Amino acid sequence: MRCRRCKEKAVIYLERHNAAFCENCFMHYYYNQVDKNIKKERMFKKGEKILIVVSGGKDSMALWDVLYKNGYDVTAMYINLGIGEYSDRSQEIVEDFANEKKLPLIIKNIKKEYGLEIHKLSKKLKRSPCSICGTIKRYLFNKVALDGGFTAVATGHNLDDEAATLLGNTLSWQEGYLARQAPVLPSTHPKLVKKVKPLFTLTERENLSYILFNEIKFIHEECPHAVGASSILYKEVLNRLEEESPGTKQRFLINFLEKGRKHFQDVKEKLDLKECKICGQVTTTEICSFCRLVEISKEL
Amino acid sequence: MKVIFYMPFKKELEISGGKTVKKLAEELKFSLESNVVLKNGKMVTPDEMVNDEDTVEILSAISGG
Repeated sequence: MRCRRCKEKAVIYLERHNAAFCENCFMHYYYNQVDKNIKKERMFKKGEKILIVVSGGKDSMALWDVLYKNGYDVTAMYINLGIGEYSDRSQEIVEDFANEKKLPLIIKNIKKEYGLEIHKLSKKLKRSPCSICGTIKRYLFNKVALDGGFTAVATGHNLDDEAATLLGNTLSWQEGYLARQAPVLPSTHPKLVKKVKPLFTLTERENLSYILFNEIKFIHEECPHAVGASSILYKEVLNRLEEESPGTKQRFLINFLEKGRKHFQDVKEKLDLKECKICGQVTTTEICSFCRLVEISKEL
Repeated sequence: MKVIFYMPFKKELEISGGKTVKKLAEELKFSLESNVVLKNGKMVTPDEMVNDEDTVEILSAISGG
């Protein structure tokens, strides 16, 4: 196969675009996609302070690299979730990248700073580790962004993540979640920071390719808690459809955002937002779910 | 040729070459949408020929979350 832009030997084929690219032209395509998403969805502008959440995985590392190379003012945040060697290895990868490129990095450690241990909380509350992890991460994304004066929190969510979430929410007709799914989650309270997903049209394979071409270190193994997750099954099913009918994932997501999402807006819950009596962060209850986890941890 | 899978655990196979990456994916039943294929350390397109002397690595792009 030949590169669509320069006609040199191609190294990657993107069937949904009916295009093959050499390494250099793939970079051009990738940068353009990210830039187009940021501008079209009005995510943020150059000069704004952006907090990017990094896990050490391919997607967030690719996002970090592409945003700093494109001249955005990004600070990364890594949350050490205390998941054994997996967390230690991923923190090392993130720290090495920040040191090598001289980029600002904030490290949060949930055990050292808040006394939180996911496996203990999961056992005590009979909740899945992923659900507790999600509560902790969402809280820290907002708190660190708000305290640091950032205008947006950027995450590495990709096309496969978004299409799999959409499939999962559609299969169980989660109307509230369907109403809220979007590449930009606007601020709905002065203490809530906007969330953005600049990679939402790029596949996991494209993000992995970007990482390999740029020789960026990343943690390849799966979080031990994610093994067997339904999101992985949904992604495999969607990729089976994608192979039979290229473009399925992007059509599913983009057509939903353009045509389907609006039909769920009238079922969107009207949330009564207030400030947590302990920490002051936005919540729908007297004490936010994060502070409740901290309180429970004190008794464990 | 040697074929190496890394996920969910490392697995090495020795199979005959002289086929395209697309044929190899059909034969070993892995998805070209879910994986990146490296031939002798370099990424390749589905029409690339892989031969007996080559080492092919299959890197999974799928993650949870």
